[in-house]
Formats: sequence, C-alpha cells, structure tokens
Amino acid sequence: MRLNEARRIFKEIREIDERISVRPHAWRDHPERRFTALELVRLIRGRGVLRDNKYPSAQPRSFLWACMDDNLRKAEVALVFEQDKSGDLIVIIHAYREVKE
Amino acid sequence: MKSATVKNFRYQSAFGEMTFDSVTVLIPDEFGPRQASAAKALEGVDFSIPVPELKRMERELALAFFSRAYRAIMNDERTISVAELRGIQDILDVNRSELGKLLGLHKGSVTNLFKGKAMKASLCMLIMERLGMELGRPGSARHMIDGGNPERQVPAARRVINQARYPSGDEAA
Repeated sequence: MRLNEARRIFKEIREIDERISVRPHAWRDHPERRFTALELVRLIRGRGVLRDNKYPSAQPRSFLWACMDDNLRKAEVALVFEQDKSGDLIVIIHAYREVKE
Repeated sequence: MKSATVKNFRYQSAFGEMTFDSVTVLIPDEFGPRQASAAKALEGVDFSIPVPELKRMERELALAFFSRAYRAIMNDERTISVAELRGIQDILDVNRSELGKLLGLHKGSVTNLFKGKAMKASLCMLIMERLGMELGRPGSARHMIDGGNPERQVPAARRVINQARYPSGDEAA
C-alpha cells in the first residue's frame, strides 16, 4: 500500500470511528488469544499502523491494523469497510496476537 | 449490509452467559430477514454486532455480575478473577494505566493483577465500587480520570446496584 492510500484509509477509519461492528469470530473462535469484543474496539481506536492484508486466506479488500495491546504485545486486527443504509462502517473480522502465558 | 433483529440471542462474556430477547446485528444483503429472526439461522453466516449493541449486552452482564458477586466479595468469600477484571476494564473503557489511576495503584501493580496476583479484599471492593459507579452513571470513570461530562444516570441499573449494596432496604440509614 502506498503512503497516500494508507493515509486515505486511516482518515476514513478516524471519520467513521463511531460506526464499528465486530464479527463474533474475531474474539470467540480463538479463546487462547484472550481478546474481548470491546478490547478490539479499543485497539482500533488507539494508535496503530495500517497495512495490506497479504495473508493467502485473507478476505478481499481487507486491511490489517497492526498495534500494541495494553501489555505491549503485538496485535493485528483485520478490518473491512462496508456500507449500509446509514453510510460507511468498519467491520472487525479477525484478530491475532500471541499470548505466552 | 443491513440490520436484522435476532430474538433469543445468546451472548457470553467474562461475566457469564445471558440470552437477550432481541439484538440488532448486521448481516449481508443477500440474507433474508425472515431467516435472520432466529439465532440458529445465523450459524455459518458472517454477521457482525454493532458496538452499541455489544456495549448494551456487556453492561447487562456486568450488572448481573455486580448484583451476584457484590455481597460475596464484601464478605471476603470470593475475589475477582483475571477474566472478570478484563471485563471490568472493558466496561470502564480505560487502559491499564488509567485503571491504575482509578484504583490508586501503579501501572506495574495493575499488570501484576492481570497476571493473576492475589487481590486483597479491600482492592476487590474498590474495583466493585468503580464498576458500580460506571454502571449507574456511564462515563463516570472517564470523568474521574480526565474530566468531561458523564452521561445521565441509568435508573434501572442504579436500582439493581442499590439492591446489591443494601439488600435489606437500609439505604436511608
């Protein structure tokens, strides 16, 4: 992703900050990662870097939000932009972090 | 995507599990509204839950936890588990350093709590008080940390909190 593209998407995330939706898969299907739904939302609203989602199994047109959690562990949150009748919204589809406890 | 109302939606968090009468979820456009009214029909569908609905469900569960555990914690019969503490942090909507400020602890001590260090009964009570404060008046924790306007009181939540605190109706005393 080029810098201009990343900036545009980052701006988009900040503008539709209030309209976030979370897929249960992101926190429910991998309990070993110890995510909670609201923690994922907190991560998206915090600091991070936006990257292309280049995983082979990635959903098309999804992005990775790379950030640090409260415990300074690297976390990656996959998100897509969707639209409904009220406008744009961010959907958190997947999340990953390594927990060594 | 479009909104759909799902009846008898089961939601699980650190505070336990609860079945909600109706929850609004977002489903793909090709999914029929009649199918979406049953929670079972959502299996295998990429539905997502909007943040206001998530918060509502988390708050309901936290309120149930508060009324269930308050007396036991006060009588030193139980403590707060790490998962519950994580849930409380979510409800308060703070990071660990801010949680430390709310509890009068250093950030490192808060990290130790999240690693499973035993909590004193007085600390558990303080955490429960902070939770009760936030549930009764959303935004209070944020208000305590850096000012701002807490949202209006939630009378239903306030009633449950008072019942947990004063079960024999000795609130006035």
